[in-house]
Amino acid sequence: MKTAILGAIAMLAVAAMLAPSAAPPTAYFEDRTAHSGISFVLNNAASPERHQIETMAGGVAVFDYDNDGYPDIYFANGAEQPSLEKTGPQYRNRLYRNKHDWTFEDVTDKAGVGGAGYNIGVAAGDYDNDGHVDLFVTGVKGNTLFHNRGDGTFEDVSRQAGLESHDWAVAAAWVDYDNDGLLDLFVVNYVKWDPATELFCGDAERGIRTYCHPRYYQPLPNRLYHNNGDGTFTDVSAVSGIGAHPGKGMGIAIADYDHDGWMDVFVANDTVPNFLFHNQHNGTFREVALQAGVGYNDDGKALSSMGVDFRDLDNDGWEDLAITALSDQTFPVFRNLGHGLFSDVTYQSRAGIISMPLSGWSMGIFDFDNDGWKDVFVAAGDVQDNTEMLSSGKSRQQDLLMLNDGHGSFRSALAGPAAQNRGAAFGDFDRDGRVDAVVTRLNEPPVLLRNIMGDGNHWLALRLVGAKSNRDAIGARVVVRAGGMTQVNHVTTSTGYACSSEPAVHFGLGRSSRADSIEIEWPSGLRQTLTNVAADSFLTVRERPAP
Amino acid sequence: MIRASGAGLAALLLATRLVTAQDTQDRLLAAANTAYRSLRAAEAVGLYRQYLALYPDRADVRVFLGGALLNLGQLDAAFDEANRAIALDDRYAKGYILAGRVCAAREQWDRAQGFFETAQRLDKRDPDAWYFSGRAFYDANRFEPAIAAFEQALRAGAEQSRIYENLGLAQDALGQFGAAEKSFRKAVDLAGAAWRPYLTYGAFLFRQNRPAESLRMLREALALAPAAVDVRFELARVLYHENSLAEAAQVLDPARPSNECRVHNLLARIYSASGKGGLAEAEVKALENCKAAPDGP
Repeated sequence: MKTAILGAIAMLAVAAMLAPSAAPPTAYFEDRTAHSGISFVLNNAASPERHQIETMAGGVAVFDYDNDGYPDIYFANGAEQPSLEKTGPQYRNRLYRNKHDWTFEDVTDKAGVGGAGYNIGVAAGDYDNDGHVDLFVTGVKGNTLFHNRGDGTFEDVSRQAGLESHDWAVAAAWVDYDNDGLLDLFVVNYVKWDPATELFCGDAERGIRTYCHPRYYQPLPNRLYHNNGDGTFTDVSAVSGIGAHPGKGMGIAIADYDHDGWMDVFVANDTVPNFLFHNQHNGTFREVALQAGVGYNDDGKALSSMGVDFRDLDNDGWEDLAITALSDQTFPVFRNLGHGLFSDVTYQSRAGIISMPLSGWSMGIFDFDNDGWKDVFVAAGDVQDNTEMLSSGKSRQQDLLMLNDGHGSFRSALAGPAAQNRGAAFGDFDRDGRVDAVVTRLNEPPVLLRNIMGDGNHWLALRLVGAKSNRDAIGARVVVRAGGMTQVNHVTTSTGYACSSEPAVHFGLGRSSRADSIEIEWPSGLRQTLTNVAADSFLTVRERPAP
Repeated sequence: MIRASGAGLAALLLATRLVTAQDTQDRLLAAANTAYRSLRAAEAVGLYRQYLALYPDRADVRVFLGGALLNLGQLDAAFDEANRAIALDDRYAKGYILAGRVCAAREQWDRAQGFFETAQRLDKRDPDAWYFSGRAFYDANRFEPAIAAFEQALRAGAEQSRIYENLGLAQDALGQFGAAEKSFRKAVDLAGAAWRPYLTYGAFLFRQNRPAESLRMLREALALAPAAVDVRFELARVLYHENSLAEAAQVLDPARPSNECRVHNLLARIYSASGKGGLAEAEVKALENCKAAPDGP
């Protein structure tokens, strides 16, 4: 059955019937799951009581754990209820090694990353600058830091690192907020949840139970951990100001949105206003979402914000925000006006009418068709698994691809099979210069989507290696000039909902076979410029030693 | 003769008093109906209750009273009136419609539709039975049956603006934008002095990224309903996105006393974009104690 669903057939993304300017049917992705060797099934331990945690599972990371130049995949998984323990193999998290030919090998046991507890999200980052990417896994009753030993194995160092917590954490981001060359950790917490006090929600008359609205749960503040550089972290939530803001966080994205040289943090909150933490350059943050115009949407409503990415969509040099939310809410797009303010351009960009019928979870902003304009991919699926019994909506939804037309608008296409899609992480699995995707689905195997768009378009991908800056170069800003266009992107692994994507900075160059220049602004403040760079290659650029 | 004349005079006086009393009761009912139609629900409730103290067996007036109570959010009392109306006349469709509306307000969707179906059986030509059924389906996010119900209401002979408007909303929700626009246009054609169809169509046009047409509709709505916060908000939003910041502020500022979050939020954006940081900051401050906007039409 699953094989049939996931057959390796070229998948025609259905041109959305949502909009007059929708593209004619075109092939966008090819489903490469069936023969990939990936047997993982996301197990949310669904219960008749419909505990809130069940609808939230599905984090996935795309990262190169063995430094072979090809990104691997790590899936977070649920656990038995009510124990919230991984009591059997069906609940283990899984690590798959990329064998470079669209097949993957399950190396979970060897790597020792099966995990513990009911896990939700993943964040990948080299926190100790040893050249081996580590993993932080969030969970309902505790988080885990897996230190990559560099020999194909990991070690759980949560306790000695000082990262133990009992809050329900959903997402996390590695970010060097104080520019000291070490990745710090921002953990996004959701709500206080106790299965013993779970309410009956749904249609009592008909006995139809649903997952409850977030208003029935108390919010939690997020946590910021400062990296001490010796393998330990200090909880600086209080002194940084982060801990003063209880929310219902789901997604996190980082960017230096005002170009002051210090990384800022956006947290997508569920039904309460989003947070935009503006870095004050002194170890503290000021929450400015309402001032900046990104706390609420244009309607003055706090949406069920879930996934988020923070990159320049209109090539004006300023990082914009795209967020996912529930059906009938739209997926907001906030245009960065460049002076600390954002404008809600959800409807002007057509993201509003495109997204209205869908519930979006993880997402990412990447130039999928390499035309020089970044697009948006959204993993879609309803919160409820019985939506059809209660509304015109659908539980199982196809993923959404919003293709940027370069004139401020998106055209839409649906991609992948319909499912309760949750996680989505991105990376170029076959190194063909196209950004691929892996999508997790509740109680089904994931879908591995090979990008087949943009024939004839050129591209560049940069892997930055920091020296004075953090080794992953998270936060580095890259400006590429090619064919009369200027594009900006930055290094981050924090994309979407509870997910982590490949840190390579990717640029579509359209018909340009060369980049006139590539400027890199490292988190350390150093700048490097490359000129006349041939397209269609992966470049590794190392930060110059400080003079 | 004199006695006869006296009796005649007495009869005349009695008749006059009766006519006067009847006239008074009619005026009371008319005043109640006027208050109800003018959305002065509390006043309408008081007047209907006075009337029913004199004529407790009027099922129709009990339904009016129930409608006013429903508008005040007094769902239990409204449901009681629906049941009293049904007890007085179990063939009176409007009693069941009221009961269905109360159930819909309680989000008891199946029960609501049960009452509407009874009303539809009793009076196939009552468009309200279909209209409110459609509204309940719409509120339950069941847009296909909502469309069917609104279309049935139209077939029942009701060329009502509100039915076309709601039909358009349901079509819009299903992404049937062409059909929705036709319905919204028809709603505007039939609107008369009603402002909401202009607002609904104007907001739809904004969502379709057609700001110039949207502005035309919303300006019409403002002319008809200068006090409506909904109208001021939608018009100001389009003006803001069209970079007509001064006019946007001018349009929205009178809505500030509503203390709705969306008003403060949009004013903050308008003032920020206008470079009026102090005013923007004041609006952001106001967001801390604002009221959520009411749900759509």
